[in-house]
Amino acid sequence: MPNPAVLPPEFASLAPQVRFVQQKNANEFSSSCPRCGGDIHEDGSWPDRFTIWRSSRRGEPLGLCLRGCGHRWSVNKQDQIWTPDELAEFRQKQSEAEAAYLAQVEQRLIELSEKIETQKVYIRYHDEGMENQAALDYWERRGIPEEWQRYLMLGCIENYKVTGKLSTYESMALTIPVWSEVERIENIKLRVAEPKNDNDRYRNYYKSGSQHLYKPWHRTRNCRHVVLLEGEIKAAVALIRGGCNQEQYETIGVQSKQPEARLLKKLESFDCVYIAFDPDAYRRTQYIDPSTGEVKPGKIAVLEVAKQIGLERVRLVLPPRERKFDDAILEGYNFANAVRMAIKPERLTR
Amino acid sequence: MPFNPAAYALTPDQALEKLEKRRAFEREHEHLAVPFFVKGLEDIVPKQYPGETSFILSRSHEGKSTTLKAWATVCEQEVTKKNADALTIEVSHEDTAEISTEQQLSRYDNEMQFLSSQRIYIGRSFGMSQDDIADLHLTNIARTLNYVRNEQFAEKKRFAGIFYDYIQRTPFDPERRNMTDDKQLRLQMRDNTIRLCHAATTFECPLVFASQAPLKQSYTLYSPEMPIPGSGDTDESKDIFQLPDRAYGWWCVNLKYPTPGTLVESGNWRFQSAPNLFFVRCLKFRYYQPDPKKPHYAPIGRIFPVFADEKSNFYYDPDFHKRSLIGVDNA
Repeated sequence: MPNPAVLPPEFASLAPQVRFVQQKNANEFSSSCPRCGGDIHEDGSWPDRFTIWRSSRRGEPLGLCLRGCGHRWSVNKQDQIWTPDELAEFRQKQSEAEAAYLAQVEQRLIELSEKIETQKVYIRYHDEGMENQAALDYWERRGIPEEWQRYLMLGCIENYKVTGKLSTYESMALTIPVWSEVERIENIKLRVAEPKNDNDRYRNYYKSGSQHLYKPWHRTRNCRHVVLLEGEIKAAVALIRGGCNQEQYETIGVQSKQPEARLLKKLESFDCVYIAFDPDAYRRTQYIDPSTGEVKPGKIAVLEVAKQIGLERVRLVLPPRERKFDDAILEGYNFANAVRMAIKPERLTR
Repeated sequence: MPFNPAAYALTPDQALEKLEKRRAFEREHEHLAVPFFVKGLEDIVPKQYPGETSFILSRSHEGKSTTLKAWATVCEQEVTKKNADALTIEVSHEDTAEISTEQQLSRYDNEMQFLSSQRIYIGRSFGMSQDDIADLHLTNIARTLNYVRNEQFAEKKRFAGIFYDYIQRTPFDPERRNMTDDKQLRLQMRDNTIRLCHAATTFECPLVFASQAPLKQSYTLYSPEMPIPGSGDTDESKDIFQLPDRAYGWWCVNLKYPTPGTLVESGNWRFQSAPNLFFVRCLKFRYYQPDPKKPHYAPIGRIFPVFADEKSNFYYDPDFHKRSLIGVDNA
């Protein structure tokens, strides 16, 4: 949601040139760019290409177009256009910063994974889960038979304290060790068995600050294709009951219909990425244009993901009649056939 | 393209090479050979291979569409069972998409199975304009098939089978819409038959179509008591019989003998009528080489009683067959 703000006084001279000013934190603001402009995005969010720091690294106020049009604003030079060399240097620094960030995240995940392996709570919860009939029944009901529960190390916490959206309460929580694409456990996903609010359904056991890929078949294979599903349970059910050729198709779960770009980059080794998300990811969102009050068409989540992966490499598996894939598979849906009948992203809106 | 006579004049060596290629093709495409649609006759009536055309000949309202739908379902389920990547195509000028879907749904255990079946329906929809319906002549059907094969899905698709209902009902080509004589109509049928046979080759799949047998005048019925159509009974044009590779005559007993239990006697046949009893007559099998070990199973010319179950799928009851043939040891 936009967070409208007024430009700080040191940027007063910029005021006639920019619109949609938002405050990100005490030091950082954003707006449209004085040079290349910018309008409200399809999802209703405001343009933030021009970033303004009250105190830059040099300790001075600085404005910068991150879209790369070349506009820079400083106290001394207020309409400076970057030279190609300056721009290249800026981009170089940006990519170095990005690489440093990714390395930092990776390091954090390695440390977390080591911690998980040291604490081994997932094993304790797995052992408890195998003794708990309610948990066993839950997984069976979701389409995961006992031998697969053992392989996936699924388990349960009998009295999990849910700090919910509306209240705090106790419920059984099912535990899913999140095997990442490099076959290490990066977190433990919790599925609250009896959530009092939809937002309470899923929790991460560890605060990792990152999304994870979930690879239920956590052994190395050299598949050329990957099928991406929304959620760990769907990925597991598609693997177990989907019927896709296991030598050709890797099955991976993502934790959101808008996975982090960092995770999508990890799919570069696959020739083809089949996206099989929940039905709402295939619908165009709508938003209300705050300036006119009009309802405008927004974005389609799967297409946004497809663009990040690369349209040529993406195939869309269409969900059947507003059903999520795991529910449909349990009702007799042939997921392998659906994968075979996938379409190219450009056909979705044709 | 200039005509190349060398492609047509073959020495024995070249001809043998082609035969070997054909056999290799059959081995390679065994998974796409469509079994006969009657359960229990799959081992007697040979499978239909890609490139081959067959048709079911029956009089009006005796089950052409039902048999084609049942066959399409057998084809689709066979492909799914083998985990193969191939579409089953139903082309219908007889039904609408809505009616056809209703009928096909009942053949599956549930809606989800149907939804994930690898099948494509090509035909009219409820509410479609007259002009749009008339546009679905064979040239446009070929275009639609090309679209399905090359564009509709992310990858180019193979067809497991095309099931076409039915040839006489096909809208005429635009240049023939103002036909004034029977000869033009006959030529249209001939053209359609040729193009359907070509479609089986072009799309490298088995093609099955239905043909109407005339109501008033029949020439080669099996017998007056058992009016199963024969080679001379294709409506409008004899080419419909002459050009395809295989032909089956089909008769719904209930239409001639609506009272269940009516005794029917004809030659060696002696049986009682039933609402779900049909007869299939194997009229033509081009390319079929009988197995010397099982000459008994050569189906050419044979007639089989067939029953429909509650889902309008068909099955063969050998005991009924034996009981119905008097003095024949080897039914």
